[in-house]
This record gives sequence, C-alpha cells and structure tokens, in this order.
Amino acid sequence: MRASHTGSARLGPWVFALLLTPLLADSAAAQSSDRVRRIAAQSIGELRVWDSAVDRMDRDGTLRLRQRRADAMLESRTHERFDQFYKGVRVHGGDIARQMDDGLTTSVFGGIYEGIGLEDVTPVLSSADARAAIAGLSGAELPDSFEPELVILPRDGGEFALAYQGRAFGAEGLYIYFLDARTGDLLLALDDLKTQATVGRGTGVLGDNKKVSTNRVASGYRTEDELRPPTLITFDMKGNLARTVNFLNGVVSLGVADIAADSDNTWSDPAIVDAHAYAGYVYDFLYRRFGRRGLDGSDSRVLALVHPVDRSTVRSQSNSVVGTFFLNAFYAGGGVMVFGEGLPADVVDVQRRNWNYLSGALDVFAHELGHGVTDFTSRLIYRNESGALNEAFSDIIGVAAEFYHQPAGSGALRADYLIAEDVVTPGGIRSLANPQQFGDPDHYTARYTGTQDNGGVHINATIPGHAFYLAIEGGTNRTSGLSVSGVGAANREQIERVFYRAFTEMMPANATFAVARTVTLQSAVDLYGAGSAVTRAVSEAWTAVGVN
Amino acid sequence: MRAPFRSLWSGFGLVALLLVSSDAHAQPSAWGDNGYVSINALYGVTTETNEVSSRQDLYQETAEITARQEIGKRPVFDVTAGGRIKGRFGMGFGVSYAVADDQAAVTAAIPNPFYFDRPRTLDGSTTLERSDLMVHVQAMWLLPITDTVQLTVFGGPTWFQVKQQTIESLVIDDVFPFDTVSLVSTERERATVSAWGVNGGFDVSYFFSKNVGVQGLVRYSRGTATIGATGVDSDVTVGGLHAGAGLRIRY
Ligand SMILES: [Zn+2]
Repeated sequence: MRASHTGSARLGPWVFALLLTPLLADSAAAQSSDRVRRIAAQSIGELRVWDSAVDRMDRDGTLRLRQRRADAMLESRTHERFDQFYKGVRVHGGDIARQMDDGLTTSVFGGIYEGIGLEDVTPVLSSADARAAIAGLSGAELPDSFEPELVILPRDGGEFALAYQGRAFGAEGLYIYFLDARTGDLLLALDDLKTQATVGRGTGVLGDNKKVSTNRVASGYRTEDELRPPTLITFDMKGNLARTVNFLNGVVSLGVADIAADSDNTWSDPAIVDAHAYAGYVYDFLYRRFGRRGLDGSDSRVLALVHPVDRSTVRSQSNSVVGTFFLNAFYAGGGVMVFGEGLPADVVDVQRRNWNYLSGALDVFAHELGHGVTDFTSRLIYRNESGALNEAFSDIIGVAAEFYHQPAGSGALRADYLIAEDVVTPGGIRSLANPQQFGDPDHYTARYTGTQDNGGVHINATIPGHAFYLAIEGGTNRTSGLSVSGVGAANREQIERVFYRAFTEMMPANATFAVARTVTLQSAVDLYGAGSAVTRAVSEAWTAVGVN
Repeated sequence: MRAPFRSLWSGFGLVALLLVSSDAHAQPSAWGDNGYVSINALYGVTTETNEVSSRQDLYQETAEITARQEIGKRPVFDVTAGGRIKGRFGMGFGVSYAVADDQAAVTAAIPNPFYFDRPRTLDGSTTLERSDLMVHVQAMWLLPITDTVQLTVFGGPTWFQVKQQTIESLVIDDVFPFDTVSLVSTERERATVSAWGVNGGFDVSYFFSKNVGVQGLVRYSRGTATIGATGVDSDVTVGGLHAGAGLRIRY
C-alpha cells in the first residue's frame, strides 16, 4: 500500500520503527528482566558455584532464610527458601530455593536482582503514613495492626524503588499496593484476587456478534483470556497517545486499570471486541493448522493495544502519528501489537477510502501476529528482499487465517486474497491475487529497487505473496504470461503448510526471493514428495513470478 | 409399549367370554358383606423410554441437555379396595406406588466457548430418582368361577402423580482446545407433576377361608405427563403393566 494521504500508511512496524527505534533500543537494554540474574543450577559444576554463593550471601545478609522444610515426598530431602535483601530491606520477588539431600545440595533455582543502586534505604514516609495512604487508595478501613512492609520494588523500567507494600481489600477488589516510600506515590497495584474465566459477547467493528474470552473480577469483567493457554490481554489505551508511546518505550508499564473493562460482559466497544476475539482466533488458527502454540511456540503472551489515539483528533495530528496510530497496525515486539484507530466517518484518505478500526480485520490481526512468529523463528531482516519475505509471510498468515475462519467470498467477513479489505474500504490495501490492482509488483522484474519502505518491504511482499496465491488457486501471471496448475482451493492447507514450515523452520534471516523459492520447494518435497502436485505447483508459482 | 397393551386387551376378550359362560355360578357374597381390600406386591414388567430435556446457559449460548431413562421395571406397592354396587358390578379404588433410582443416559450439545454455533456432543450418565403415585378408579365386574376362586375384571381412569428428578445443570470437564467435553456430575432438581390416564386389568383370587384369600393381579395403566425442567417441557408416558400377587380380605 503505497499511497494514502500521509504517504506512510503501511501495515507494518516500519513507520513505528523510524519513530521510536532509538528509544526502544535504550529501554530494552534497561528492562528490569535484564537485571535479574536467573539461576537454575543442576549440574555439579553449577551447583558447587551456587551452593557456596548462597552460603556467602546468607552470611553477608544478601539472603535471609525464609523457611526450611522437609520434602513431603522424598524423605532425605529438605528445601530452603531465601529472600533477597538489600541493605536490610527485602527485595520484592528476589529469592532462591535450595534443595538438599542429606545436607548435600542437589538443586538451586532462583532469581536475584543485580545493580540495585539505592544509596539510602531510609523511608521518608512512616509506616502509619503508608497505612493511611493505602486505606485511601483502597477505600478500606485498616486497623492499626496493619503494617505495610518496606521493600525494594524492581520497576519495569529497570530501576528500583524503595516502597511500602501492603495488601488491602477495597471496593475495587483485593490488591497489593506498592507506595513510593519517599513520596507516597502509588508505584504499582497488583490484583491479588483470583479471577474466574468467563465468556462474554460483543459486537465487532463490522457489526457481527462474537464471543470474547474474558475474566471476572470484583468490579466486573476484563479482556483477559483465561481459557486459552497463553496470556492474551487487550488493553484500552483510551486515546492516550502519550501513555501508549511511553509504554512502548518502556517508560511506564500497563496495569490492570489499562485492561479493557466492562460491567456486564456484553461488550459494546467494537474495536476491543474484535481485538480480543481475533487474538484468540489467530492463536486457534496457528494451533489447529500448524500445531503451533502461539508466537514463540510455547504460548508466549499477546498484548493487543487498541484506541492508541482519539479518532476525533486526527486533523491536528502530525503525518507520522496519523500514519502510525490511525492508519496502521504494528507488531512492537514482545507480543505487543498496536491497532490503529482508523478515521472518523467524514474523513477519507487521498484515495477516498474509509478507514475503520484496524483491529476489525482478522487478516490485519493475523498479519501482525505473523510478524511475532517471524520474530521467534526466521527473524527475516526487515529490509530489501528478506524484509519483503518477512512482510509476505505475514500476508500469507493473514490470508490463511481468514480462509480458516471465514467463508470464502467477497465483502465483509469473507475470506479472500485482499489485505485489510474489511476495514479499509473499498478494496483494502494489497492483493495477493492481483497485486497490480494496488500498483504493487506481481513479478520479480517489476520489483521496487529504491530505498523507501526499507527497500520496498511492503511493496515487494506481493511477489512471494502472489506466488503463494498461484500455488493454491493456479492461473496465469499477468506479467510473465506463465500459467500455474494450483493445488486448488480445497487443498489450500497443503500450500499453507509448505510456506509455514519453510518460513518458520528453514528460512535464513537474510534470505532472498531465490532462497525462499529453494526453501519452500524443499519444504514441499519434504511434506509431499518431489513428484507431487504440491511441489509442482510451488515450483511453477515461483517461476511464474520470475523467481528462479 | 404397544405390544403388552395389545396382549392385555386380547386377554380381556378371553375374560369376557369366560364371564358370559360362567354367569350361572355368580355368587353376590363373593364381594364380601361390605367389600374387600387387597394388599399387593406388584412388579413393573414393561418399560417406557423417558426423555426429559433441560437447558443450561453456557458460554453465551444454551446447552441442550437430554436425560434418557428406561422407566418401569421396579417393584410396585398396591392397595386396592372395592365393593359391590349391584350384582356382579362393583366399584373400587386402587393406590399404587413405585420409586426407583434409575441410570439415565445424558446427552448434551455443549456450546464452544469461543465460537457461536459450534456445539460439541457430551455423553455421560447420572442417576435420577423417579416415583409414581397412581390412584386408580375402577369399575369392576366380579365373576365367581368356583366356590373359592373368582375373577374380577376392571377398568377406569387413573390419576398419576410423578416426581421426577431432572437435570438442572451439568458440571463438565472442558479445557483447551475444547474439542471434547466430559461429564463430571449433574446438579439435579425435582419436578412434581400430575396427569390423568386410564387403567384396565383383572385379578384372580383364591379364598382359603371365608374372609381371607390370595390373589394374582394384572393391571395396565397409561397416561402422559408433562415434566418441566429449566423451563423446557417434556411429555413422558406414565404407568405400565404391573403384575403380582397379594392378600385379599373380605369383610
Ligand atoms: Zn507487516
């Protein structure tokens, strides 16, 4: 999709990358997870090192024994748990578990925070001040015996804060509050109430009724899927662009208050309904079609952010903000996806197209999650031909997810080879069936060789995407005039499996189109045999688009 | 249940013939001076398939549940009393009671938690208690066969009161990927309904003293009751063919 009124509308992270990459890089390095020294000692060598380290830290006060317990199942074993302390203050979440067999250490697991640079651990607030503040936050009446604990709180930004920790049950439910021990500011509120999986319903962007997997908390319902194995959460950014950007930069973390909420589990915000439902749909598609459990194959989280901006402010936004947060959807790494807000009904782009909430298109959602899969597999470099392959794989996943969940046809909620056609109307932004329809190349000779769009990653994506189409549907390439005998729509799964397996298992990060041809052919031969109709279709399709 | 019904009525034909041929030996005292009472241990010899449907709201849809039981083969306790009105004709009342815990085959269409209109099939079983109280009003025709043996043919309306345990909700084991679902247990409730039907049958009694005798009794009754469960009505056939023996006392 090359031409919208901003000239920067892409279904991809590249605009975002231009805007925020330096900030992201900095914040990533400072992630608190990097400050955790994770210990999993089981071999003799590691055990020797960590056993003496634990003893040393126990002596110098870095660790304090919390409990020692006999193993309920193995008679000679005992288990010790140590909490991490810093200058005499417990570090929240820092601990070590040591297993002993007749006094001999057999395993050490734990996580110890490093680089806690707090000079002074003397609180400004008294314990009574903290109690009063927590009472105010929770609305609960707290007795004098309620004593918040002074702790070191590791922050998402990688810093550490001296905090008071207290658990209180109030109108909003049961929360663990962390207050800055110097300023009294609320640093973190953790929902400590066990939640219950529920199924809600709502109306999507296109007016369709669908189920949403939510959970129930004291105050109502939230878009947290507890029925599928991974964490799938939809956040309602409520049009707060600054908060969205701060989260993406690691400056703030999102809390329970950011999760989309509803009082009766009948959801009326269509962008939220679709984002949350489609996160599950795509997980189901990957699982059922390819046996893949989520982005990393091990049920890693998916966080969908909707309403990153307020639609009504579009006229006052910069081109880059419009291109990124109105007319785009992008995968921001770590399972985080942001779905653009679209345009008000009375605003169209230069091609006179309307833009609805981007989360309303299943293929857009699947496309973005496809980038997540790539991140965890081939890591195709996001420029030039490897970048176009990266985009092509996402388009393929988007189209395949549509055909998996929707009946084939044209129009809303129908599966086709158009990308984003349900929310960018009329027409969508790309076509794998006829790339030329949007001015995109359908043949290698017509590829874009300039430097824009990271070397045409979105533009040239339609060349391998069209090969995918031809391998399924067959037909004649408009540029080369070469015909392909496709496997047929009824056998689309065969081509999907060939491309999925090639891209996730065998594709190198710097692959060219020619390499992609070889890899997909290898995949086809492995799955269906050298002489199979599938292998022939894949071969003919690449040849037809000029990739040899 | 149609075969026993037919055989019963063909039996009636035979009895009617007997009655006509034995007419000359009729003894009004066979009724007793005031009447008679009999206490009978019967057994249900036929079964009816009893299907009771219910519904459960689940995953924003409705689970359609059916409990199917074979009801009938069970002990029936019966007390019948009657007396003469005129000649061989009399009037009586019988009260029968049966109760049993029966295995019910549970089938249900369980909605998918993620998608509309993609139900999965659940098969399981549970135990549902069923009791039937039957009050038979009987017009009777008594025919002495010998001095000590007599036959009574009867028929009339029956009032049924049925107490049927129904399934209020299912407790299911249902986890990702939600392809299959299994039954853990059922939450049950009890419906009490009544209905009118008909009865007909005969007894043969043998008196070994003036007032005390034994008898064999065969009674068929039938009606249709409507059992409501979770707002769903199901029509079930009640009654059946009950046969057995008891003590008969004239007084
Ligand atoms: Zn993309």
